[in-house]
Amino acid sequence: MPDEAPVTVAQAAGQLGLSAYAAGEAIDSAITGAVVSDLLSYVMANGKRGNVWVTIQTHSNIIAVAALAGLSAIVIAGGFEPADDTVARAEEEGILVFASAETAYTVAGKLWEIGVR
Amino acid sequence: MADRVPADLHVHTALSPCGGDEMKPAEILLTAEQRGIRVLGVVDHSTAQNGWAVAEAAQAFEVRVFVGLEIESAEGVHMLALFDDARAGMDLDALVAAHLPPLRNRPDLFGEQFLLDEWGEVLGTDERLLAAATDLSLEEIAGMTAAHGGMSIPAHIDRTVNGLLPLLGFVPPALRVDAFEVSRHMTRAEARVRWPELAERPLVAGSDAHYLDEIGAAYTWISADLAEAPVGVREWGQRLAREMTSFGD
Repeated sequence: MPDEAPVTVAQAAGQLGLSAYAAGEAIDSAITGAVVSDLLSYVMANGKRGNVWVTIQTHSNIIAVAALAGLSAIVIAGGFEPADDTVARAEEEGILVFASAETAYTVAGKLWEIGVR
Repeated sequence: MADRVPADLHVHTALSPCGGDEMKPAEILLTAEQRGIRVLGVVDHSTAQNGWAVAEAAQAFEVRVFVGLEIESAEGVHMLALFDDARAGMDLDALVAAHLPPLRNRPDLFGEQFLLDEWGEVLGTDERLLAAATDLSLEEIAGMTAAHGGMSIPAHIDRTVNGLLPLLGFVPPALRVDAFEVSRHMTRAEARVRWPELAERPLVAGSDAHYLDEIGAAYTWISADLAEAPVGVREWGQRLAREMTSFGD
């Protein structure tokens, strides 16, 4: 493991070159793990507080799911972008939303590489 | 040409978290009646607990009502399970309850879930996360619905959110349902062009109304004979399937 201290959202965003769509105070919070899924129901049931969620879903329902599970951030992969109402809802709920042009597989791999467990 | 009348088999009550508080039995039925809807399907996500109230209130209206649930499968696909008897709907409700995750609703995120009586009075709320998915497969849900004497219809099969075709890419060959619902965002003719495998399948259109003004936003023309057919929902579903395969859009 490269670092003893847990990776923060800000560090991950920087190291992965993520584009920010909805920022917030939570940007300096520690990432507790990650979940990769495009099934909202899966994340509702299995997402853990502080997790980063990697998905290609872009609709506003992802924000309610992230808020329910107490996730720290959503990374929309595959070159997709969040819908306008997704960003608006994210700002209301204080959920960080990023996007990456890389595939969900690559994003997940890079999170692992920088020490997200 | 036989007389045809509109049917909207997919309308929610205020028990569904995304459903507006205005979705109360008499208001739903009055709106449907005023819009000429002669057959109505009233469902809620993961539960049929308001079904009895809707069935009770329906006695005062010229609308034939089926009640039931909209169930989310493990694959994330939504399926309507409709009954003519609120009690049969509740039998399926009990089975579904055992297959939902033990999560509580967050009304601030998903909306309130109101249990209602036939007068629209709030009796309480359902505390469970009704927006969650079951761990049941589509085939299992269809089988359970049939076993309880109901009719099953995959909901809004064209929609990327919880729609069968975008999620699975195809209709599972072993799936036995009565008809497939296309949402108000696409005509059934467009759906058959987009997904040629639907050519021979019975399609219906439904509103998925969560607010009164959405009732009848999409509907299906059915024969007046079918609308009035004095048969149970299982037989009704089979007749619907035969009609919808030949009528199209």
